[in-house]
Amino acid sequence: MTHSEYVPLRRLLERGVAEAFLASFERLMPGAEVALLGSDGRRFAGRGDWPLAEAAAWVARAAEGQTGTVADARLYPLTTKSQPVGALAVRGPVSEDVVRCLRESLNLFLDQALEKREVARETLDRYREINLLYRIGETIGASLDPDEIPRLELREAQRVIPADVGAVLLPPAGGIGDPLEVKASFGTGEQVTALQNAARDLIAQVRQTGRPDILAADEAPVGTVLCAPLKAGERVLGVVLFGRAAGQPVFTAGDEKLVMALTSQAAIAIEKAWLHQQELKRQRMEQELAIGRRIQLSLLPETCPSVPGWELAALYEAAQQVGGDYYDFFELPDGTGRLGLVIADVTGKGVPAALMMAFSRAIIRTEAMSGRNPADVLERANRIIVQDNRSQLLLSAFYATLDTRGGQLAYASGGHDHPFWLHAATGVCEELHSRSLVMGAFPFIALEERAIDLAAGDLLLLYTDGVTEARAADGQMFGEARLQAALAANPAASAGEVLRTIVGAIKTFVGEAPPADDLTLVVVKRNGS
Amino acid sequence: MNLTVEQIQGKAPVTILGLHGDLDASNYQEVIAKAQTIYNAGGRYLLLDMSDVPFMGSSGLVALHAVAVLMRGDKPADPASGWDAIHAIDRDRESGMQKHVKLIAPQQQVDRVLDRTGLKQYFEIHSDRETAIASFG
Repeated sequence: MTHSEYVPLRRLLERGVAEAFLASFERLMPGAEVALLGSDGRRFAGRGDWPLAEAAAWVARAAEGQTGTVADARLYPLTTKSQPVGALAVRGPVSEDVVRCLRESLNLFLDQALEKREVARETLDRYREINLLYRIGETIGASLDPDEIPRLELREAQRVIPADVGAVLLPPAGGIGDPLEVKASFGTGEQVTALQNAARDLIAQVRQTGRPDILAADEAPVGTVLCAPLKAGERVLGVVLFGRAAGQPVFTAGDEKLVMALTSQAAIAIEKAWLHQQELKRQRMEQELAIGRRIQLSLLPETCPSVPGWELAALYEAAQQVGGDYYDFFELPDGTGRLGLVIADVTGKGVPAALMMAFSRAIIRTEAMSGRNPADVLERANRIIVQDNRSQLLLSAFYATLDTRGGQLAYASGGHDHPFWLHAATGVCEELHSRSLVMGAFPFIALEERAIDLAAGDLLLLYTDGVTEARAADGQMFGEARLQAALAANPAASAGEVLRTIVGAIKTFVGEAPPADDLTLVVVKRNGS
Repeated sequence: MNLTVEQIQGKAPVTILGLHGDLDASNYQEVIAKAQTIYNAGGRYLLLDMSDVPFMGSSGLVALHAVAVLMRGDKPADPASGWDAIHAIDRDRESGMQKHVKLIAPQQQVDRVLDRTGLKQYFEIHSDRETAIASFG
């Protein structure tokens, strides 16, 4: 705020007080006329006719302490803090001593009045600042857009801190990363670059100390720089820079204070906005997971097929994240009474895995419906998957056709865990091996096809690696041996009960630990004839 | 997981990438990225030392496959190049086991996964470093 503006007498003195003051002097000096003339060419107080226009012209020219004469009037300049505000005009028999006394009293009076006025104005300025901060708090605080807040901050700051160029610097993405980037600015692009260059060391220092500082750079086009931290609590999020062209006044400690008041509000708002964005992102991810989960669940058979002489039971239990496990049953349409069985596991998690699963399921199903044998079905499905595999995910799959009349199971495996075959007659648990290769990686794979005959009471267990790799709290894995033991625990039970026994064993083994991977199990039992 | 890199001058220059810890969904991309760095620096023969990997999840398969593809000098399957890319991979397949990436001493669980998924047809496995290094060139 500048003090060089013209202040009229009426703003400094109350006219009544001035009149009383002059009258008391006139009583001391009979025959004299005394008046206060404003530099605006008006009489402010006192009596008599005065050459007002000439007096005003004289006031404008007069130096401090100088006296002058216009017509029969003697003029003495009145100043407050070296600024001319008018003149004391005297006419008639008055001693210089009395005049000096009068002038000194008046000047003192005026100085005090001006001081009072400045105090009042400072209070008003403070009030305006508080008002501004309040408004900024309201404007900025209401925004949840981390890109908008820096713009708002600069706009509001420009109202109180005159500057030629300014910028808000923050980390590139949601509070993470370095170096800081310009998120909002005013001034030309060239000015902003010059400001950043001039302030490079200052920025590093302010980020380190968390305190604002001023630089008197003499490199044109930036003359002086004010740098303030954007501080939320003790964390320095970024900085605000203001610059003035060379030749402009250097920033003051008062500017620093004001900027700090602004930036602390903005920093809190920015942090809030970042948190809000994180929350949105989390919600989006959750939504994505829910979509993935829906895709996955919608593709699993709702019920197991009911086939005379056979029992089927299946379970899919989701881990926290969406995986790409699935199982599938379908009746082959060739009228032979064969049933198609699939279990598969897509590597990876989330929506990509769920989509890959949906894609693979459709292809394997389509190929299977053509009535081809299992190795052909998987080899052909693999070729299509490789051709179209944008996600680079891999897939392991086991496909078998079950002749529900004769009990023969023909199978092939595309890199899947070997299923278990529990012989009812001997209690022996056998792994269904075959030459196998994981799917989705190589376009032409040669899979081996094998066949077995399931006897009455025999159990077949298909599973994914989430079962054998389920971990207890100590990191130990459930493993194949425990799985085989659980399968063999109660061979006379129904397929559903066998499944429940296995799941119970896994749960007991894993304990409270949250499942890391999906559990997928299919139990097939040939009933005793 | 920790990764260590070692250069050996055998009959051919060989890089040994040592994997230490479980190889799973949380870190398989690090292995791919490291192999890419090795390839970019001129490495063409890579040994993956698996002796300190107690567990490999199915994501590990993706890593092994991607490493083999990129050490051969191909970008991991680019769908835009369609059948050409597929046929390029196929030529490799016809020549049997790939020649650029071999494995050293996988532990039991990893060996079982390689066996189950059929990747043993694709990756040569050596029980020690010396024979593995000597197998190149």
